[in-house]
Amino acid sequence: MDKAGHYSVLYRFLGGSDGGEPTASVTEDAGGNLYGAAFGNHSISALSTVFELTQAGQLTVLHDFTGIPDGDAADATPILDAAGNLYGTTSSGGFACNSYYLPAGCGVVYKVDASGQYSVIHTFKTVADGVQPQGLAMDAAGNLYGSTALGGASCFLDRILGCGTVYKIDTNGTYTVLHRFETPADGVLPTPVTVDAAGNVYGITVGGGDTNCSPGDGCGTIFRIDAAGRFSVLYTFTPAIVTTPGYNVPVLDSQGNLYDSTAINQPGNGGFLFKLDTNGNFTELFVFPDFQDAPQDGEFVNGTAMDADGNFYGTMLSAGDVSCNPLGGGCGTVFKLTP
Amino acid sequence: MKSNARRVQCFVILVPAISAAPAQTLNFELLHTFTGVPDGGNPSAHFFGYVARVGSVAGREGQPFWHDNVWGPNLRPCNTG
Repeated sequence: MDKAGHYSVLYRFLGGSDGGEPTASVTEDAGGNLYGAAFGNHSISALSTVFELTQAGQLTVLHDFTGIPDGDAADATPILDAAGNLYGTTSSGGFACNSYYLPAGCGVVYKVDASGQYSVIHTFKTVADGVQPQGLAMDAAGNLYGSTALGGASCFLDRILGCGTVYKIDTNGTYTVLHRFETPADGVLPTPVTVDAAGNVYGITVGGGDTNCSPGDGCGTIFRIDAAGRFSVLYTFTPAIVTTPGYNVPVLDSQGNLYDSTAINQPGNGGFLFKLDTNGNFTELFVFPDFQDAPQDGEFVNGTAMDADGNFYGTMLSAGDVSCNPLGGGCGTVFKLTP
Repeated sequence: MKSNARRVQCFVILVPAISAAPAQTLNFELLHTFTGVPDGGNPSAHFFGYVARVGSVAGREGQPFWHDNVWGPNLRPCNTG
């Protein structure tokens, strides 16, 4: 979709060797080429792939995943460094860190270099290491940061597979777990993280925090891990703010303020966009319309992006044209929020 | 999207009331409505938290996972049993 709001389809996946179900977003290089990952769907023989797509609509598969040991189910948006190397994660494949619950593997961090050569730069081999990585962020020095949805340490919500980690892979390829989510106060089950240029990592958890929220599981926290590796909770969601936790990937503005949206509608509203400023002040910026009141606007906010002018963009997973989906749920919308 | 209908039902049942909404400081503009064919639909699924628990919740080890109607891409049942 261009700045004028004109929508066009650049490529339609055939669901075979080109991949299928590209659930992640795409990354654009300076030349306008797009890079993305396709989750794949084995039931229709659609491969999980990493691909390059030109503005002319020419798609090139950079790698198709086979599971173990190279990864599978590429569901995270790949990122580029200044040299044109592409990095990403798969939430499956690699190595079965728990052969009973996760026989298909616990995920990998991969690299496709500028010449198109694929390599695995980290395989999640133990639960303590992390399980199911979910995307990457990069600081100004080129260090990679990410979170795993599970793994780490046993916690009150999951004693076997753990409740998530945040990790760092430095420019030498050294993997370090920065934090294992274990206690309710820290929060548990992190979303993908974002990082500022100095290497401070920010993220949100979907559980833990105030355990009076969401019948004992907690509604999550907003956390920070500074460049020295110190973990702190910046904000704890309470029942007065959130009744069912559901967050998107947080974004930072140039001043270091954090923004995110809640994905799930609640009685009387359809989720909200919020801001946490650098002083810790929490503000609801926009309350999305309730599905019952405005189904045409969409339902389930799905991602938050902002431009330099302070406009926010996002998609709604469903609703909109409710006649388009055979189940009546609608096919979603694209929206913009302007100051 | 095969699970939409079940997902909506689930939320309506589980979610209690919330306080009144604050004044809006941003204006909502609808840019595009997906119609399925040929423009696509149900864009991505990268939100997190439909499932506050995954896999072997304490006391429920080995039992079927009960979130398969609301899974996100990282929390899908084929990986967790």
